Amino acid sequence: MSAITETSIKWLNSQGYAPHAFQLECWASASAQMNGLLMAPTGSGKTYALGLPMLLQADASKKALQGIWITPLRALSFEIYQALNYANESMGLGLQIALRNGDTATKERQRQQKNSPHILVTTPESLHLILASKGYSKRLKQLKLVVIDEWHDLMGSKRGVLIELALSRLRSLSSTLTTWGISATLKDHSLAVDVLSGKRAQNQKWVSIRADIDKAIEVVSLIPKTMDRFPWRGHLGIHLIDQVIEAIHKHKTVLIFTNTRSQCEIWYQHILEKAPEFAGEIAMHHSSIDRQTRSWVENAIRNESLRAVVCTSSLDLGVDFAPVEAIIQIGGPKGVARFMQRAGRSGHQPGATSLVYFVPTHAIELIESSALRMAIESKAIENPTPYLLCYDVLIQYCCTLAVSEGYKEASLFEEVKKTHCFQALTLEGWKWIQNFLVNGSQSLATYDEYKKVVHNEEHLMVIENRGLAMRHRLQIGTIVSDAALQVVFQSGGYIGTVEEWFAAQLKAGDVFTFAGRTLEFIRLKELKVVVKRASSKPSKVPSWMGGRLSFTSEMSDLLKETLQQAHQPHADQDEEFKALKPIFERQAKESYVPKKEEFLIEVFQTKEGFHHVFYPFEGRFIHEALASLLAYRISLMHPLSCTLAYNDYGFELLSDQPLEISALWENNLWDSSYIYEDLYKSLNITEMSRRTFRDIAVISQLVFTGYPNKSVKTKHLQSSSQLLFEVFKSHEPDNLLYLQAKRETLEHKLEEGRLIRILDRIAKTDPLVAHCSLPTPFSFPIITDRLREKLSNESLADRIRKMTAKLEHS
Amino acid sequence: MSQILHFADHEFLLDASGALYWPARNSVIISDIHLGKIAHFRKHGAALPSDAQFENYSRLSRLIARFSPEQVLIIGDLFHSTLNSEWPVFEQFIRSHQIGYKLIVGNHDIIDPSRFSALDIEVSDTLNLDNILFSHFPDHQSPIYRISGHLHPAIRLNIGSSERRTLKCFYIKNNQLVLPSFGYFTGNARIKRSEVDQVYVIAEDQVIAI
Repeated sequence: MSAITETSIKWLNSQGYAPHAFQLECWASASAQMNGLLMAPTGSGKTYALGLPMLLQADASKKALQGIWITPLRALSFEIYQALNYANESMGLGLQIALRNGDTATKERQRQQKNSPHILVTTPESLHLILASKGYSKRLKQLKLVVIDEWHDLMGSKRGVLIELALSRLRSLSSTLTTWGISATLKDHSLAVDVLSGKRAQNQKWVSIRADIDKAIEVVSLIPKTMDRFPWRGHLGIHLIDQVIEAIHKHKTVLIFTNTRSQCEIWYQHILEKAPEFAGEIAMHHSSIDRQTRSWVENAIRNESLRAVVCTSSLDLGVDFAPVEAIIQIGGPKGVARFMQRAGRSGHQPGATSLVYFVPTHAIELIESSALRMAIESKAIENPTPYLLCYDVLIQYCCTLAVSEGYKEASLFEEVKKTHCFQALTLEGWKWIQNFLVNGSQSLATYDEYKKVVHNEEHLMVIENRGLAMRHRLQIGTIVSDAALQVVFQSGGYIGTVEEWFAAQLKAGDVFTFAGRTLEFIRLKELKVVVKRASSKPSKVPSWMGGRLSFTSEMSDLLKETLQQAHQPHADQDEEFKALKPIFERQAKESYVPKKEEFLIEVFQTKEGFHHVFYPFEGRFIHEALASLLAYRISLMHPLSCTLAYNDYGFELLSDQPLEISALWENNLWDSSYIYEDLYKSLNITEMSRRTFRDIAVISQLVFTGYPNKSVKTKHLQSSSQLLFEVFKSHEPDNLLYLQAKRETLEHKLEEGRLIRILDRIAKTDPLVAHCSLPTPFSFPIITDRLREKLSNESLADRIRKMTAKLEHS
Repeated sequence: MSQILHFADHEFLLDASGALYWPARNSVIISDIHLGKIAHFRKHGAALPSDAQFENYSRLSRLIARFSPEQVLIIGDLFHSTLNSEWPVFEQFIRSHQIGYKLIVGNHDIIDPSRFSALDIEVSDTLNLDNILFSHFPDHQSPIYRISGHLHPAIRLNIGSSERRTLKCFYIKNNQLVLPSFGYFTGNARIKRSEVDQVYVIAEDQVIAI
């Protein structure tokens, strides 16, 4: 038994705990200088599984940084810091442990730079800020262990790319460095290990350790007392409010998860209206609310002064709230990982059960509850898709190194190629990036004053201009927030942010609810929405773009699997299916309940036209792409005027003439080749790419987002990324950043790989066509969708003329 | 395609380029070109395609070719910043298009006026022609007819059921006519239809009254 293991067991015993098997495994592997991935749920003791080796490997007599713990959240980093410090003091190790994140004061940062702590708890962005400071290579040379927490969450984002790049640098600096990731249980963990390790050195050993801890999760659906009053469509779920209030009363503290920020605002209002006794004991938490208020809420949960918090994914991750006894999930969480994470927020005492109440917003959604129960049994969550060839992040990283100690073009190329993200980076691509940094992607023109990275006399790539260096340090990171306006009281006091387009529609005197308050809009002043408290009833609730969620492919599989219960004897069914009996009976009478491999298509006629409803059960984003693709391809064969609608279960083409379903197969319309070209023409991909480009432009620092609180002075350097997108589109369409926007839209937004698999599968199936006389329970929520897309090939001017003609009529 | 506009007892053409043509004086009036902006961004480390700066000059040449005006009246924000590498390009353009130029200075025009005078460009703060005041800054309460820029007006329109577009526009409120930005790489500021008296949007190659 290694010394680390021995000391760790002794210490844990002295704290009154016996070590878990996975902790013993971690200690043994870490002692043996191995790298690894630990898959363990929150609250299972994962911090000490790797925290103790980090502490015990460090040498207090050496004044050097020896361990780094990376977390995605500031709040989480504080908890880790406390846990590590507690062990450090209780064992009398005499180590200095420091915290560094965006909140750390400049003075403390300078102190850390002069007088290096032994262990640092930080975020990916702050780690890059260290790489942007002179002397980093000396300070990081003695690093022994880096732990990356919540790796499953980070690896599917560009923050994961920041970590990959930082690790490649750290591994070059310290040959004895070992790396560990901590993640939730993944379906396929080899990818998570590959991304973390990059190209492995020959003597590097990697292990995966899975914590065998059964976290019991119980899912209880709130089923309306009478099914006939339950709506067939909807998205708020407010009709179940009495049962939700009943559930809140049963527990000390509950978290109520909603899927969007506006849903969160609406539920908060309704609960207070229905149950005024909760006033002062219920709060709201979402990402547009001011950070101070949010941390107040987080603390209030911890010290048990709140009964309920209505929140969004802003509380999905991280911090453990011991007093939370139950979770209420409003509407389907649409993904297994999100659901498990939320469920894990409750029942934190060892051995306690996590209790989740599921509140369906419409009848069919009840099936999702049953599907989630199945997900719990399999315990695994979706694999995140790691980003590849993120030129934007690479450009930022090159600047980071150019700002601090400079880099050599050739050796850095070899180094970044070791990461998973840039394994396929070509020399040509690398040269393009260097030319972009030095010449601004142009061939050298004499009149050009482009200035960024230069070759210095020592053949290092550096940024010498101080203004550029300062702007760069301010912009390190990959989290791009939406153009948001601050909401402030006239009397002073910041409440949170709303999106610009919401603010734009407000008129003086308009009353809206935000952050649980009823506010009256006074005026817009210098990017601030000035408000005062209002006494009248609110008429508006702000909504935020990008809040919509769609089924993940795992969720889709589970749902199709679960649906099979409808064919089982009543006695074997979950309570959800028992409750849905009248609805399934009606569906079966009018149409079919599809079996697992069947592809159901419902066809019927109303006075609106001919409805064709397809049910792939793949989530609304995929359905949007499928519907647009299909409509476009049909329109190539013969003129077609139709509108499109979709939800998570299926999509509809509504046209003025019947479609021949078998012709869709005979004419090969489900072909997966040329989908980019066809989607480009049918779906508004340009618009989607433009949105993707916004993040890329900010990350690669094509746009400067301004100094904090000093936005006015830099206005001459600000531009909307939309304008930039247009500039690149017409003047430099081969720019790698512009091409990256298109690629990322296809790979990450449209899930190209999944789309191709689905198309191939549909092409091979025989459709099950039901000719119905009436809308079915399945089709009703789709065909009544008011936000329909229209396929149109009229010119912009004609469409505007038509629209104004309509305005004049009404 | 242009749209005829009767304003201040004169006839004008609203051009889809964002320019205003005044047949009686054979003049074109443009606002907010923001020349040198691409170069300015590049100078500060944002690698925009430098070729894009020529777009503004081709717009100007097309405009001049289309109307053959005797005079071009620029009502402010001709240059985005201090002198930079784009100035020689501008000089070259003016020398090769020998017509009359007048500049009414805007908030961005911080280049020394003598530089403009050297190119025979007349510089002034405002200009009064046939009882119309030309100025960079609009004044919606103006007692006399006034034509200005500065705001880069645009309007958001619903096109069909779910698509929305923001389009550059001309608008009139009381005695004030405001021109859209003529420049290629310039942002917009959205106005609301209810706040103004008349709006003319630019929809690709056409100008449409809303």
